[in-house]
Amino acid sequence: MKFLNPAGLWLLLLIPVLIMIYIIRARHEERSVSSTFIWKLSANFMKNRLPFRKMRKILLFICQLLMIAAVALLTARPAMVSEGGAEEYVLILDASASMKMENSKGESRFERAAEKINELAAKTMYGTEISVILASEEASYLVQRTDSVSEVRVALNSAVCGNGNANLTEALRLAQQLCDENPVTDVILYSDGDCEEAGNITVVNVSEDEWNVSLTALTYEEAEEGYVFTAEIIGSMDTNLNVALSADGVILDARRLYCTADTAATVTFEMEELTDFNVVTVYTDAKDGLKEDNSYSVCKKREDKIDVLLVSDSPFYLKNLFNAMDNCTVTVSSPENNFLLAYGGFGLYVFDGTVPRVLPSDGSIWMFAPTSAPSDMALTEKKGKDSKLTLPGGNTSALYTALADSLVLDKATVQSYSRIVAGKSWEPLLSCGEDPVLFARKEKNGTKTVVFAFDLHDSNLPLLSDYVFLMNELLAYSFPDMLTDTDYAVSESVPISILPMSERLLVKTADSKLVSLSTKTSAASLIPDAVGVYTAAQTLSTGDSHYMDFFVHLPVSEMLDRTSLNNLSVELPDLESEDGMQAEDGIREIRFYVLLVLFLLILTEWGVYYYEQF
Amino acid sequence: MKKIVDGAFLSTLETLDLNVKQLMNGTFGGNRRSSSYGSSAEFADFREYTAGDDLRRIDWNIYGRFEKLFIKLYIDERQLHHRVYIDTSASMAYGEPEKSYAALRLAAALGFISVQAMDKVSFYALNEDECQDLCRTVMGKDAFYLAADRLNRVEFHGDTDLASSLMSCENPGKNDGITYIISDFFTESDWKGAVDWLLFKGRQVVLIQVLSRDEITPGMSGKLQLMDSEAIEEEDTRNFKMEVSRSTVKAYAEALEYYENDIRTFCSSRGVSFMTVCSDESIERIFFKKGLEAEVVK
Repeated sequence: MKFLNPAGLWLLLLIPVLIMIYIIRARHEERSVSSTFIWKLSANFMKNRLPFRKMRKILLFICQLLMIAAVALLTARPAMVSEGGAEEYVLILDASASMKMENSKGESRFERAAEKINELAAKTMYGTEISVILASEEASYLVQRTDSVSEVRVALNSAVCGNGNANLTEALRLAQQLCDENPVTDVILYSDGDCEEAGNITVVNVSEDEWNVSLTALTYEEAEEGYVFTAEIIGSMDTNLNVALSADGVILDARRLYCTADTAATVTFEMEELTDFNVVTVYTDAKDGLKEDNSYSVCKKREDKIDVLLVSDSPFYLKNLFNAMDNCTVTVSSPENNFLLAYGGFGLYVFDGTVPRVLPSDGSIWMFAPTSAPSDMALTEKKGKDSKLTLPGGNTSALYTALADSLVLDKATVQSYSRIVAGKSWEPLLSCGEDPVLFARKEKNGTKTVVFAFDLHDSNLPLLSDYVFLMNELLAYSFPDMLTDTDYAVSESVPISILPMSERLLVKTADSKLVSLSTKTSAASLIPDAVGVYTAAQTLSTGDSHYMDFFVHLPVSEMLDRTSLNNLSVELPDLESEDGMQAEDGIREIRFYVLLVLFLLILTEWGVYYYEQF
Repeated sequence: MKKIVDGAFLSTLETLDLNVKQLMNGTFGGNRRSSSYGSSAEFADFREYTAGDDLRRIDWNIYGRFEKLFIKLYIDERQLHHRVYIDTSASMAYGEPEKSYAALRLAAALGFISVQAMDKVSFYALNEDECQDLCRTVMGKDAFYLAADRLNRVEFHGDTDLASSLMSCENPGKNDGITYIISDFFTESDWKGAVDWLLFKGRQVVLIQVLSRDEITPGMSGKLQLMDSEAIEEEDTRNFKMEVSRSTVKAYAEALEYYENDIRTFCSSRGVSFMTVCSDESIERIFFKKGLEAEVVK
């Protein structure tokens, strides 16, 4: 046994003080009475009680002595010592979405795992250190090397189970850091799966009788009349399910479905009367352990209409092209008045063989065979005869890559083009020989400028399929979709393109928070952590707003009723190594027992004293 | 000093009379039946004529019938003389209210009841080994009030040897009244012998023990040196040390009960009335309950 606070033993000096008090108190207080006649007579009646009286006096004195000793001991903090018995635990708590699954009593796996950690902490010896690592999408320490049971409990109470995967790799890396410093560390992983090869890690599977039904996918296609929606559903046990479909909050159809355990089923909804929608949701009312995957939504991708102003004397090719685009509305104008007109109010300005004196600033600009060059560009003499259109190479931009993927250009030629010298702000996209003939640039306000150094009539390009692909890519470049997809998993990065002239980008999350993202780059990104429908909204400097919805779901791996954990291990240094630490002594305080004894002594002393004093 | 007698006090006692248990001799002019025959008008009995009897008392009717000489006897109504002895030692000056006050009120009450019954009463203070006559024989209410005033001025101090002081009384009386001894009887003196002596003198004796509430139920505790109020010096053997606790108080109560039973046994064996009163009890309770129960009054 040892004393954690030996200074407390100085209180034992109160024992001689007590003895002195008893000696001093031995003096009798004078008290005058009418007569001592009866008092003297009472001595005869006291004789047979004398031994008990003496015993009570001694008992009182001994009680008080022992009480002083007990208080001194309590202050000195006595503890039983076990040499090398102290332990260190590194506890990894899986905080992935599947840990939210609840059993029939409403307890989640995460809560049970936290309780097991609390129980372990409570029964450890004094001196044992505990670290808890929360393994969510990003692993982090909840507590690090604490010997306080209450600190562990408070940290666990504040821990939140996420909606994504558990980053066990990072969690093990953190655990390794601690093991490097102490070779006698026990590493325990609290998760909801078994591990075949756990190495030197103990895996505690906290799964119980939970079961789960998940909607894992929802797609749609446009039919001759209406839409057809197809949902995939999988459950961990055989069960009958009700599955319903709602469009923009209105329930349109419901089905009864028999689901076989661990077998994906498909349910199809043919919505002939549905003409349009923003968000369609399929959901089930199953009373399973995880609610977040009981619904799946699909958001219709919207394409904003583009108003095109085509200024050309011979707009045939371009007009037909834009008319063929569903999202373009073209207005044709003659170039005669282009020096006098102030252009505005269009999303795309196409100047074919002409350039206005003042270029519009509220939309993207395409120039074909310009008569004057925009900034950072210079026109030179024409050069021409049958030059083949090629991709120049050496460009890694997204636009160039998209063109390279979609264009063939084996037959595209240009008979006459202007030789253009362009500055670094321009990106060359197509060339005739060594002369770039197609340039693109992003302006400061986010709009795009595309310059063709040749007239389309001087090329066979409009006759080839490459023409449509090229124009599509240029349109996509000039007018990028805010979102390329509308279906993402939790913690998956959602890229949001910044629209031209965008001043503000806000995202309303599934849990009704508003997130503001920067519009200074060409694209922003969001890492969603809540399941549900999000809405991204961009406001342009023209006052127009563009909206797009997207759905975020749980990672599919978390929807299924458990993965297996493999290849978990940490490297523990050799105990014999000189650099290795020796295990600490384990200490268990015994103050509680001393306190109990003190309490009993107080009761005894009080009882004897007050009984004596009637 | 608080007056021991007031109007209310006296009015309470008007309905009471002393319980004279035996026929006694007294002087003429009282209301008590005497043990001797006298010349009053109330016929009592006959007896045979003996030489020397008054011839005028011969009842000739009886002679005519029985031809024997008998004389008539008449009740002799006499005045008794009661004596009240008050222990005036220091121990009687204790208590709240003081036992001395209770003792003097008792003495005054007994005196008033006596004079009301046309009897005489004397008051004596017992102190050391002396018996001091506090006032002359009291007859009639006027003299009683004077005596009450004298009682007011009695001082309680020192020690009292009950036996010596009682027996030093010059005129204790003989078969002519009740002797009341008011004390706490906390003494080693042979007062029982004095009582026997009074009984021999033909006195009807009544012992009244006066105790304070503290003496009945002591409320002290701890290590104490008990100083007897009648002890002169610190080394007096009556002073002693003890640790007062629950058990000692219990033993005290047993000792007190034992002592009182001893007195009671002594008294009952001699036909002596005995009662114990507490100094904080009212006169009404003392006389109308305890006094009646102990047959001290009627």
